[in-house]
Amino acid sequence: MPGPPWTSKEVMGRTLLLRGLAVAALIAAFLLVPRQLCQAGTDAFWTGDRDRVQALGANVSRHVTELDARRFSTGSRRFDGEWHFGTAMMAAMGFGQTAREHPELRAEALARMDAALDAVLSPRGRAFDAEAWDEDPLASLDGSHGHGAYLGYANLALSVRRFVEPGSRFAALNDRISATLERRLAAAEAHAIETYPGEIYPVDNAAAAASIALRARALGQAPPPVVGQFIGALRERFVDPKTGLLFQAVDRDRRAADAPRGSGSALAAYFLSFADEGAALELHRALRRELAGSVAGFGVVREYPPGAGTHFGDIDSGPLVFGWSISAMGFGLSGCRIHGERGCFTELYRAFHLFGAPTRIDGEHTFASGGPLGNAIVFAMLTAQPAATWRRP
Amino acid sequence: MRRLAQVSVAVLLAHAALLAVAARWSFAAALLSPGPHSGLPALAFGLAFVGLRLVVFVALPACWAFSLVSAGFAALEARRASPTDGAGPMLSAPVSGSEVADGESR
Repeated sequence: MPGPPWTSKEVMGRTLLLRGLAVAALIAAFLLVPRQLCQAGTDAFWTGDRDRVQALGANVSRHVTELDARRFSTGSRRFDGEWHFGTAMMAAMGFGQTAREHPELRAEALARMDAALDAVLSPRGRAFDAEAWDEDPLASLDGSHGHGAYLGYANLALSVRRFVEPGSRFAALNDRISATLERRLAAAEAHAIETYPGEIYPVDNAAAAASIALRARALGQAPPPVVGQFIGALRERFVDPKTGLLFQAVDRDRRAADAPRGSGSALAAYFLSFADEGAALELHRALRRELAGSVAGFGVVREYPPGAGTHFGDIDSGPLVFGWSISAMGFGLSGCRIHGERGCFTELYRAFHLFGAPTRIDGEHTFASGGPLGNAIVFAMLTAQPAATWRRP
Repeated sequence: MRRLAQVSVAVLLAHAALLAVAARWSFAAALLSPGPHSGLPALAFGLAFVGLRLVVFVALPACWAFSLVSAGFAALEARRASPTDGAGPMLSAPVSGSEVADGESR
């Protein structure tokens, strides 16, 4: 039997209800579907899936062998050189970490790491620093100029190599650079040396200090006193007391010359995990507390703390959209993995999936929008190891 | 639905094409390099790429959810309105007072 006919009010109410349900479905889909779609691959990288790591490593290795400074076109000769160097350095870190995490891939990873280290140490790899200082960083190890970024980053990769295999062909150079950095850090005000003439970046010094500490650990020794002295100075002078974040730059008097920022804090937290787990965790927590957020399940990290004004980004942060920094997000991934925070790793990885476009081509795994530098950095961050990995039993 | 399906196919094809190009051409240098030195074509490509990713992973699923739910309810309503189906007719009955039936003028 048919029911009674509906009134126009009933029809209108029903229509509104159905429209409301459709809109609710739209909102639910917006909140739930993208995060699920972009979660593919998270578990593989979180658990260090061998095939996935190997496939990404193959892509990064190819970038290193094809590395050519002309591929970068930042508009600045120095930045082009930095990106060339950074690609090789981050690749070396990723392969060193892979060798530690996957003993079965050790031989392949170390061969690729050595090729990356050769690129780091090549004349082209050190040209950006040599031009800035008007002297070669490796030919002037007995001198007094800082060369903080080149020597710090290169030596950290060399120390990782040393830790994985103490007797490699890079051991002697690792010893020489470590001795140089130890001497320069000890002599410098607040134990922070210049990256370029007149330019001092705490994050670069974090790499230098970490490289010294890790080399000592590789040899079963205690880190030299200057490492603790630098970390003390970092806590007292280079970290913003309000936010706990690292100042991006300091002046010649070692006073803040730039805001506390996400990219520098996240990268320093990664570097310090090789030297001092506590200091690394402090920076990582400050980053999460002050700058991290989530939009529909996608992790985001701001470059500047709230109230720091409007910024559009620079070479360190990349272009800022709504104040979010792709660099801080990328470096921040490592902290989540190092400190075992799966939730933040998953959220940040979703954002990288969305904008990085992971894809597989010819057996290689690559983030399509990353290019050589982006893929090398993400490789190093996704394979970052817990601090305990870098301790001798 | 049909139009949405056509748009979806077109978007997915465009996305696949951009993905293939992006994997072989490093436009990240231009994207990550703020300032006038950035290559405009690369920047435009990067923005299009990011925009299309947002459409594929965020907008399309939401549109499909809205569309499917709407279509599902419309089908249910049509079934209810069918005289052979036993449900109440989708008609407004004349009521008392000043109200008039749908479709009639005062």
